[in-house]
Amino acid sequence: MMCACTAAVLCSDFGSVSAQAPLDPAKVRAAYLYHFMRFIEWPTPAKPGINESYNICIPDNGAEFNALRAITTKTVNDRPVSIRHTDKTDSLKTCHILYLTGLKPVQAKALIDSISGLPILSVGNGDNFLDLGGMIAFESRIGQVTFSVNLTVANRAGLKISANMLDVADRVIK
Amino acid sequence: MSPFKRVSKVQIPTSLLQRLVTVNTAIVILALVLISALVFIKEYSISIERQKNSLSSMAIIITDRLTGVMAFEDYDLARKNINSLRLNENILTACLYDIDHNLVTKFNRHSNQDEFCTKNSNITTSLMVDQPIMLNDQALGRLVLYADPKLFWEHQIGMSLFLLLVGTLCYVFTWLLSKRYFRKETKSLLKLAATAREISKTGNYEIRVTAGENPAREISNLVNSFNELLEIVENHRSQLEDMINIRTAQLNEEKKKVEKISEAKSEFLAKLNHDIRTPLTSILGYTELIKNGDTVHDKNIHHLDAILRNAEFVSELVNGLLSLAKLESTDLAVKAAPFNINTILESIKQTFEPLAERKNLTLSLNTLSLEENWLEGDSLKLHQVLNNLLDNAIKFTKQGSVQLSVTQRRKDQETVIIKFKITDSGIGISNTKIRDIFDDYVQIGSDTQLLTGAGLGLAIAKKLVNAMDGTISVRQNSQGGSEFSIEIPFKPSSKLSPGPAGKENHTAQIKSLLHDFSPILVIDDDPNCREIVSEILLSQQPQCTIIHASTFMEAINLYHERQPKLVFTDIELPDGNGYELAKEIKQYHGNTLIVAISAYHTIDEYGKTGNRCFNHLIAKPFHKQNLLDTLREIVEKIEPL
Repeated sequence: MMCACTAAVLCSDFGSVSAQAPLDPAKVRAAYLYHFMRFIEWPTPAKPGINESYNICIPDNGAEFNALRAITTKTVNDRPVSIRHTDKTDSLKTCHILYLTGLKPVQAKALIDSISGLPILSVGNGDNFLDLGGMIAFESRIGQVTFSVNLTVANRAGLKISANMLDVADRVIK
Repeated sequence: MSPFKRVSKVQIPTSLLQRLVTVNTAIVILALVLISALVFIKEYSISIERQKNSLSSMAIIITDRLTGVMAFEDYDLARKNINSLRLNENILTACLYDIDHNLVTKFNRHSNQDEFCTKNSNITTSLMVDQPIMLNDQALGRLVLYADPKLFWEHQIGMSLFLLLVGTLCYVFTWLLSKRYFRKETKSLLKLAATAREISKTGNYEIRVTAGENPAREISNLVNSFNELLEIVENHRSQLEDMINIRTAQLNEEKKKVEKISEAKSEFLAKLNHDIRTPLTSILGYTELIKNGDTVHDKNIHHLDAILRNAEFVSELVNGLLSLAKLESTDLAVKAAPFNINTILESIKQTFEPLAERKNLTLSLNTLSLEENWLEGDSLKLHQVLNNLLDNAIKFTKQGSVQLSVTQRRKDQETVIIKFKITDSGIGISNTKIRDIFDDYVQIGSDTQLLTGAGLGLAIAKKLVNAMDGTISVRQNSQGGSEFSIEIPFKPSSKLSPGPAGKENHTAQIKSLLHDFSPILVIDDDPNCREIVSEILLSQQPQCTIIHASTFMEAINLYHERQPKLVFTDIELPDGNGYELAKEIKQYHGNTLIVAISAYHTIDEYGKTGNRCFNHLIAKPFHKQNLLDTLREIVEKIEPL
């Protein structure tokens, strides 16, 4: 399914981009990550309890990390959202989303393998991210950000992705 | 012309069946209209609700699917989703707004519905839904759906047509069933009406109505009552016819009787004319001969006899007519007073013996079996009856005899039945007349017979006998003559008979009375009457003085001048009447004896007034004997004094 999300409005929620300014793909992706948490249901042990937060882990501390700061002010299901910069395999178990950006495919593959079977949504950039075993991969086309979903991997990890989100996905691998 | 047009009245059917069917059908239609209206209203509200529910369901489904679209702002997909609503014919317009109320996309089934999906559109209809798009309690936008009213109204029209169809079918079935049912139910009533019409036309009350099969109780009762009524009417009619027949027969009989009486009256008048003119001719003729001296003196006696006989006949005729007139106009009051039957029979004998001798007839009186001489009853009426019968017997017997036999038998202590039988050897009575002989104006003799009476005697006799509770009958006797039988009940009276010896003394007593009471005043405006009275009185006492008066005032003056003790007065005087005169005399001297003599009244008619004013009454015309009888009565009354 083709998805052509302008994300202009999406990004306006985060207040850092004006409607006339060119879209910052990093911010669009940050907004997407936020919505992913709203459309995906984690299994009970992994679901944040009271006084817990949705944790987004990111090994890169560059522009993507900075863009993610905007969503820490929001909540998902009354739970706050926190951003963590980490590349340690041991510390990944408490992450809900592992956003692998700015890494080489080998590195990304290693981290993906390290969380294999765990209820952690792995998100990356590029078409081949799904080939590495990732669950959601961002893609950029004609100034637009789209995403594809490897539903098989996600289901294997115990994550339930809403059909509404899948409707919007550019490609879904089952 | 009036500006208001008169509303024409609804034509009400005249037939009972049509009325019942119309009313029944109208009620059903009314009920159907009410039910249809209720169903329509209910269906309308249900349809609106259903439409809204349907719209809401649709909106919920769509908005649920649109959460991802709106979250990720995939408006191409949003347009696809909204356009997919085209498949639902119920959706007229769909408008998808973002969280800032900006129109994201829309769907219009028709091109002229742009006004629905503007940013500030606030069009609200009963067939719209405004559904927010929510994700975890956060609004992402809203979807507004408008349902197509055309479908809704098509549904309503379909429902209305269905109701109309059901109503029409109900009307038709109701009409058919009502007609069929009411025709059966009203059959008896219509039959009843038809029968009533037939009866009124033909007058045949024997017709009866049958109620038919299994009729309603009220109709059955009505039919039975109608038949009973016919039965009653029929009976009444039959009775009325019988009664009319009886009455008609009675009327015919009465008519025949009246015709017969009328015929007899006509004959009687002709005869009366003849019977009055004939004796008057004799009276006039003989009187003229005597007056002119045209006859020898010896024949005068014969002529005077003829004059007397003819005058007596006329007198009897007039008396009879007056008696009959009185009997017909008044009730006959029977007076009860003691009388001696021998006295009556003696008087009868004295009256009729000369007549019988004149015709060489034998008059015999048989009273051997009489035990009771004194009886109580109306002697005057008895006297008159016997007078009439004996007068007839002598009149219609040319030769032979006339016999009066009197017998009596005691019925009980209080009643003695006296039976009088008058037998003659006369002409008898024909069988055709014997039945009507006691009717008025019917004569015994033939029409050509002269001086045979007016045919009133027997009618008067029958009335008098009946008034005395007696019976009278007639039959033909063995000699060919007539035999009249009378039976009259009387009460026995204890008064003793004075005996025949008293009679001889009366002449002397009258003579003495007239002497003692002289002068005697005789008042009458007719000098002839005064002279006759005077002559009779002088024949009894030549020594007495008679004074005459012709008027009321002359009489009063004479009375005061001469103080007479005995007065004979006419009742009708030129300047007054006998009653006033008697009252004035009695005021002056109460013991004065006043005898009234009048042609205007018969004796009975003086009544109480006469009895109060006068001591004795004599009716004109009168015989010498009547006057002498009155004098004898006066003598008998003053004797004890």
